[in-house]
Amino acid sequence: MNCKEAAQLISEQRDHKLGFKDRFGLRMHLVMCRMCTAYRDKLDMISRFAKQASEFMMGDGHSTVALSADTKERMKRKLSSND
Amino acid sequence: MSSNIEKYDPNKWVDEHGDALYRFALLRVKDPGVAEDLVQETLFSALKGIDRFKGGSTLRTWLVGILKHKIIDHFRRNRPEILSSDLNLMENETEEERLERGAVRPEWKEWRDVPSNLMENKEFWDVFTACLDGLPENHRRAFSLREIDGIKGDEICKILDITSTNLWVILHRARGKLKSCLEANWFDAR
Repeated sequence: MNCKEAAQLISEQRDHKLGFKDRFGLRMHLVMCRMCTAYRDKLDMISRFAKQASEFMMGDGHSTVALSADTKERMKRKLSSND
Repeated sequence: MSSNIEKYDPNKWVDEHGDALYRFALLRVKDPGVAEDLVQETLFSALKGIDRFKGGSTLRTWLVGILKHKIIDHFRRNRPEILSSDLNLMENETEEERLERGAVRPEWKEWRDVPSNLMENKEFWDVFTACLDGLPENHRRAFSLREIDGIKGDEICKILDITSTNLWVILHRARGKLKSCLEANWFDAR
């Protein structure tokens, strides 16, 4: 297994269970390959970031991204006119 | 009592939940105008269906649940064209190719400087969301459904109308691009 194939499988194993042959081949490759091991660890971290993104974005820490006052007024008008 | 008042006062929903819903949408949908429309539709559906709100969860959680459905509906109704480059496996470079063209950073270099409070670091999230926005639309959708919302692959294939093989390739490409973007703009940039 070369690094290109390993990288695809490192990603795929996050999405579905690999077959025995791929799983075994990937494990052998990772034992020998520092680069692909680092790649796997980075994808792990990206997953962690993604899982926490909603929580952070919805909190007040990101309050600079907001609906404009005009948009809010327009929303309120639409909501009350459809009562 | 106060929760009952909040329950039937959509003006208050806009003030208290509008921004959070908007940011939730923007994490999944790049276009701010589309995100605004989705929030508007969410509040409108909530108003019409307020009798279904049982109060077992918070109003915020209930609204977010409606918004999630609106976003998936939007994905189903507006499907971007799948480009052949979306599925081109060979576009991910190997380390040898990177080094040959003079890329400075060896691929195996680990990510250091990951402070424990990274999750509270606004600058980091600005980079993260900018990197998300830099992905092609299909990559962005697949990645956010899979990694941000944790939806199973076969479900995502139905939403995006693609095969599972295509989905795995797209996710591989999306993760690789995000990794490179985070390195260029965060991990190697400081």
